[in-house]
Amino acid sequence: MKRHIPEDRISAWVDRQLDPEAMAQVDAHLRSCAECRSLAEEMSAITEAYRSAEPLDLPPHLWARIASGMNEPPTHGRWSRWLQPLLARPSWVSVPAPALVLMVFIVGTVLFVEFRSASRFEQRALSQIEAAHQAMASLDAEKHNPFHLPAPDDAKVNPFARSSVDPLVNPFSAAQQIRQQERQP
Amino acid sequence: MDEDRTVGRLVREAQGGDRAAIQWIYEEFAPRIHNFLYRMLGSREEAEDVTQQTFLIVIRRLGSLRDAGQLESWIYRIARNEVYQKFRRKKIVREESEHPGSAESPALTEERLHANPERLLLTRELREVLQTTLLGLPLKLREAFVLGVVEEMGYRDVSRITGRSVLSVKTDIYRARMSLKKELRKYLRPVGKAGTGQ
Ligand SMILES: [Zn+2]
Repeated sequence: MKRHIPEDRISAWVDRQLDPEAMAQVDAHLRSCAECRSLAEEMSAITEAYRSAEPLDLPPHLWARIASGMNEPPTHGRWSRWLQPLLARPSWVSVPAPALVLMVFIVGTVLFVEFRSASRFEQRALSQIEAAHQAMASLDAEKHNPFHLPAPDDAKVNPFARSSVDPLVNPFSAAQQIRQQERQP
Repeated sequence: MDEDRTVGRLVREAQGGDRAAIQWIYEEFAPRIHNFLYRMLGSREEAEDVTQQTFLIVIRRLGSLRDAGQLESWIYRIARNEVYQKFRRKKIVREESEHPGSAESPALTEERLHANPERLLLTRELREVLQTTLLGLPLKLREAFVLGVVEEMGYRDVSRITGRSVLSVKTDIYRARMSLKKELRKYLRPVGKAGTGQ
């Protein structure tokens, strides 16, 4: 008694997916074996039922919706979707996708490091300014006159500070005093 | 050959942003993609939404398609990916479900079907019965059956789209067939014996 054809082989036969030699073998077996033929007919019937079911009509307005969506940026929040337009490239760019990903990664890393060092530099500069500011604020501003003008203690040598000046060193008041002394007997 | 050249030229034009070429791609593939999606998802609204989503992605990513000869399976892969994403979002992926289809099958009772057994094959109810039974299959078997049997693609093309081996595609289609056969026999048996009044 001949062996039956395996069922998955009959299924592939129904789909005409066996090589020509195997197709012929199954053909020959089915002619002589009612059992396998019955299974093949059932499988074919189901296939035909699905194939003959009316296809669904494509809604006519769908293209208009797609065409209007073509100009809008993708609305998906997921990063993979966001990356898609970046990974899609015009045909003239012959960079393979992995190389592109690597490039994006390297540039990203460089920018990240750059940004971090830049911000660290900025922070250090700010803290130094802050320290200088505090130092200056804590100092006696009078004594640390950056313009090196005479401090109040040196008022005696200030020719314009009339009140506190020793009259003797004031040329104007000195002349007046001399005149007063001459008038007195 | 000549047709391949034309497709290649149209794809290049579409990649360059040519509207007419993009529309040609849509008109050429959208009807089949739409049907594929309907059979996978089981709802007209979802099939329409996912067809739209699929072609927006196709248009956006067209620049990454290198071989115009792969255009069809490339579009199918995108559509299939959207189906999986949709199921993942719904958290109802049942690749190897313990109760295949029990949660997805709309209420389709035997009583209702047996009420008019003779009409079944003649009316649009047939499509409903077939669709309901199809939706009862695990996603993996369903897609293999829809692509390989309903859409009449070669197993090699199905393998390319699903990312599974040709052998696995062959087994999946066989298992899908046997499962559908069992389910449909239960429902449709009276049709074959309509005269006996079973
Ligand atoms: Zn046999």
